[in-house]
Amino acid sequence: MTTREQEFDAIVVGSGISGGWAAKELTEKGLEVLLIERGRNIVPGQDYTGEHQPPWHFPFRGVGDRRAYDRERPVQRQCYACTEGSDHFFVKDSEHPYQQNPQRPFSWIRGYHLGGRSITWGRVVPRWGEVNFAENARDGWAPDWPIRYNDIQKWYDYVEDFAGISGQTDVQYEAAPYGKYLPPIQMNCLEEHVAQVLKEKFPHIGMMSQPTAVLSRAHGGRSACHFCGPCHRGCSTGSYFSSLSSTLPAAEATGKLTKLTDTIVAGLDYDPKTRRVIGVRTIHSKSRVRGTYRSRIVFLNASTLGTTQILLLSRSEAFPNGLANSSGVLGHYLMDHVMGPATRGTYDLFNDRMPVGNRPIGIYVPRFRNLNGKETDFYRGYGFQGGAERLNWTRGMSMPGFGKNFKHALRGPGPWRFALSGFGECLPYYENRVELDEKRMDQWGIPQLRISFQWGENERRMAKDMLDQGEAIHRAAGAIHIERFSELLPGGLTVHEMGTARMGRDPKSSVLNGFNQAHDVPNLFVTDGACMASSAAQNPSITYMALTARSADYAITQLKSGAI
Amino acid sequence: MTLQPSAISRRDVLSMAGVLGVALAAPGFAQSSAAPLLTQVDLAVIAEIADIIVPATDTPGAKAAGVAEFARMMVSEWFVLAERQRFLSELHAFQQQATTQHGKAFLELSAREQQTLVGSVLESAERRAPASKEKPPFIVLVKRLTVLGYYTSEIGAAEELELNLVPGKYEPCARSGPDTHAGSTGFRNATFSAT
Repeated sequence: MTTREQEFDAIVVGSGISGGWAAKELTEKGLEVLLIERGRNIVPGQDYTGEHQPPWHFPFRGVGDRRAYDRERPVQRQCYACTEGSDHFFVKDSEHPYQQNPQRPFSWIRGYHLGGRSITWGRVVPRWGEVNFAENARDGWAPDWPIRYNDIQKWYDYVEDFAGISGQTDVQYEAAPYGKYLPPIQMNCLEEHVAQVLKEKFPHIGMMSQPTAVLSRAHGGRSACHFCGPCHRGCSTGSYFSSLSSTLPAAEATGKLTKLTDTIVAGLDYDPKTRRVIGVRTIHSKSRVRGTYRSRIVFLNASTLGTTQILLLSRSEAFPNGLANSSGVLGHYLMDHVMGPATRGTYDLFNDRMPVGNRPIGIYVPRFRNLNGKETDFYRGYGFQGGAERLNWTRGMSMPGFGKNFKHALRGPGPWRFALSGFGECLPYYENRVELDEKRMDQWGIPQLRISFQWGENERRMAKDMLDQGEAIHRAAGAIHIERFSELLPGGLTVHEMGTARMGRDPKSSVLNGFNQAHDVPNLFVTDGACMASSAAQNPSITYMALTARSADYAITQLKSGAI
Repeated sequence: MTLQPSAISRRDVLSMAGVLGVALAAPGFAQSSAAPLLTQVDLAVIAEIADIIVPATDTPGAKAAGVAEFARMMVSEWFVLAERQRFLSELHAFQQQATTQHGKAFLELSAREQQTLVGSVLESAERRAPASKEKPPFIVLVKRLTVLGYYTSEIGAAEELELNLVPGKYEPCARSGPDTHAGSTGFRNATFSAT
């Protein structure tokens, strides 16, 4: 049953980081935009029910309702941010199932609600550098990126200026160039010490305060961070970038935005005569009422795998294997960042100093390996994230002792500990893929996704180097005790899933062109993580923002010129 | 995602792997509701042990903070059946040990006797613990529940430690001295493991 057919200039599917940007850019440039979100509406502030709650207000004191998680969120709970106070921003796996290859599992972390994962994201925003865009061509692991750093540089400036990025601007790193930043949130004394040791003993490795989408001072009508700590519970002062605090209000201010929540996109209608998407088919998640919406252009921003699912579902005679998939690469080359391998040093330094206030970020060590060509036994590289802290009361759970002395020892801050956790580039492998499982439907009758993912030999070699380099840094900095954690987490848990509808110069080996426009379907744009042709090692969201703003600008030009 | 300093405890990494196992195999939650629960005596014993671990000093201790009730809730609502059964059977064996050694029930021992017994059982468990691959004995679980329950209670978080839910500023290198009370909240929620 079709309830309505309505015409818009543009339809944006998804309201997370990239969808919010698409809605903002397209409305501000004069288009009437329909934004479709599959999850529920969120009222900023009011729906941040965990924000600023003391621990005793949570029934499980913040640990989370384990048995409910076992039942409802067995995958989502693996993400550190899915816990009491924030678990309502993660889907129930039981209501939104997907299939994993048991030998090649993938943890798909999702948030179905207005704003998507922009509420719970990590907010770390290093830019990609020239090396990252040039590397596919250099080593041949994937087809060349159709763009270079200088194509996107001004768009990084543009989105950073609006989002409000705090970060250091004293050293220009090749694999994390700084941009238009607010002052950094400072490193603490142990971090400064390690940074100094690096300068003296490892001049090729730099360390800085993480570039972050958290405001170090008021910006764009939003307040500076108040250092409460758990950003993933939501931020009623809008002190970090989210769609809800930033892009959606801007889009709404134009008067040109229509929002639909609880509306699932079941597929896109394609007209082979005009080679255009002519309709977006929807199902209301509660009433099950179906609809079709029409627009001149469509932006897919449903998150990497959500977007690819929509394309795979949009089959027609012209595209029997999914819309815009004449290349056959749609669904392939899924990537995430290597995470898990880490080192941790305990330090007997600065015992009369401690951080006060809960800093929402840590340190960033930009990639330092293979910048000028392969010089290790692996390709590409990794960065470190982490930082120093004084242990808190939770150390009491494993600290021997009891009684007055035990209690007194836990009253003060614990020893300093410094963690360096690798975030590594993942090569794009054809076998790491997502497809439709035609036998398993979700509750709306839509075929579920089946995901198959595995780290390769290159990622394992890189992981070893993360441990060796991290240990060498701790040793040089004077750690009294060093621990190594060697396990790679399953794919998906870095929540940087990307690829599966990649950009490229050649329509035979890529889905999208250099402006995120489908080679096969000129009025279709994909600007979320699905578009990525390689993963670099940097946290990707700022790049999605810049690509989205750039693509929206191009789409408008194309519309105006009559090309689409 | 971001990685905070505290974000990579080995337990986190392992529990992630463990959870994945649960996700792929059949979860064990289904049987838990029919399991035996803590008696009033069990609860009183846990309250005494908790108060020995975190006693009243210049601030109230575990008893005043309601740790036993928190432990009861966790054992009944959070532990899975096998964990609860093991916890209860070891708790009862501990009570039996008191009776065997002193000829009277744990709750009837003097404060000093209770403290000595708890101390010796806990110390021997903690001596074994680092090298041991066995599951943590109940006394270690009571200790973990005590620490979690106490420092997340209003007394523990706001009287014993410094509670500042909205600090408003960040001082990267403030002074700390012998009288400093550390902050009770952070970027991440606490984690707990019964295994």
